[in-house]
Amino acid sequence: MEFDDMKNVWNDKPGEALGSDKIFAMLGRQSHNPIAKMKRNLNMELLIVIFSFGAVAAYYFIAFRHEYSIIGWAYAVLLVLFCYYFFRKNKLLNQMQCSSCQVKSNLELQLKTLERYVRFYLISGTAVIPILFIFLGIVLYYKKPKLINETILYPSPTNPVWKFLLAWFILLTISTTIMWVLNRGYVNKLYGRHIDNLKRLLLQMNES
Amino acid sequence: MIQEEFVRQIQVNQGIIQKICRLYGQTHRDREDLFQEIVVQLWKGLPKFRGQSKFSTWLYRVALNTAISDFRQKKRSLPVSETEIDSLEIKSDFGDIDSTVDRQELLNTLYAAIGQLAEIDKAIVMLYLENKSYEEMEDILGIKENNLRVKMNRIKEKLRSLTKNISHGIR
Repeated sequence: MEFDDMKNVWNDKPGEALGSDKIFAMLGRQSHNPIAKMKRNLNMELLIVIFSFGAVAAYYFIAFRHEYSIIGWAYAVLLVLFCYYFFRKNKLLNQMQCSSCQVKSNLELQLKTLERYVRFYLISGTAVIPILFIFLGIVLYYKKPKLINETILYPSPTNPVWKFLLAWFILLTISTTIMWVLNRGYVNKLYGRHIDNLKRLLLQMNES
Repeated sequence: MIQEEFVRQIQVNQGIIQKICRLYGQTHRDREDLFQEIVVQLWKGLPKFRGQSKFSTWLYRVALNTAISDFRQKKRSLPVSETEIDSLEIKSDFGDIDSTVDRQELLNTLYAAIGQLAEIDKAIVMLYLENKSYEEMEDILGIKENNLRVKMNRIKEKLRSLTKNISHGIR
């Protein structure tokens, strides 16, 4: 049979008709699209972070006769940073999909936005370490110097400033590098195959 | 467009959605899930549809975008194997193709052969079989007309080679 004659066969089987009640029922259901799932997960994470960080911050503001209110402030700052992080991620997720666009431009958009999303994830995930170091340094230096005053991490007449700074710098560099490597592996595990598939689909579209 | 009108449009065009689901979903469950996801995406995207293109063009775009994204995600979907085509080949080896059963067998063979193609090629061949012009195909897929023609020739060749042992295969 000639290929074009297949059009008749292709177009003469409409399939089983679906009742309007079933279609109405579908309209109220949640999307199982991966981006919709990512958005739902992100909203859940945001709620968890707001309640847990908010509770911890409130606890340090109230308890210990306000002695550790600096920790409360640190948590409040972290909460604000997390809110910004969620806002950015949500914005990228909103930009990630254009179902009514041409298939090719939708794939290009998904790839471009997903790569930005992954980059942001990697940078912000790694930036947690320097932020935590600053936070930890302030707490130890001002509130609990006894814990470190006999170590290289605290400046003293026997421990010159350059040694103290170098020690923190080495510790920070090693921790940040480890975090970056771990984050990169995790991000690749989460989105690597997805990105490769998008690239493969775009390659299929572009090859002539 | 109000909900009732939207549902009516889905009923009118559900043949298109069912064909896409059959092409991209390998199991019955996959196809049901995909059908539902396409309807949800169409409903969500409806406020953005301003009638600049035909409703069917918009529907093809949303449905194919959803199917191709969904196809990427499903792990349980297994590609149609050569063995499945072989079994269909035996069944479709009839003297004439006038009876409904024979046409159904031929359709099954066609679906099985298309199932062997890459995701994008499936979309191209589907639009071709739906009698879409190359201009409309470009509007839906975003692939240039010239490139579509080249691709379509290659796809025909591949389908011919996949069905060459069938008496009613593609010539």
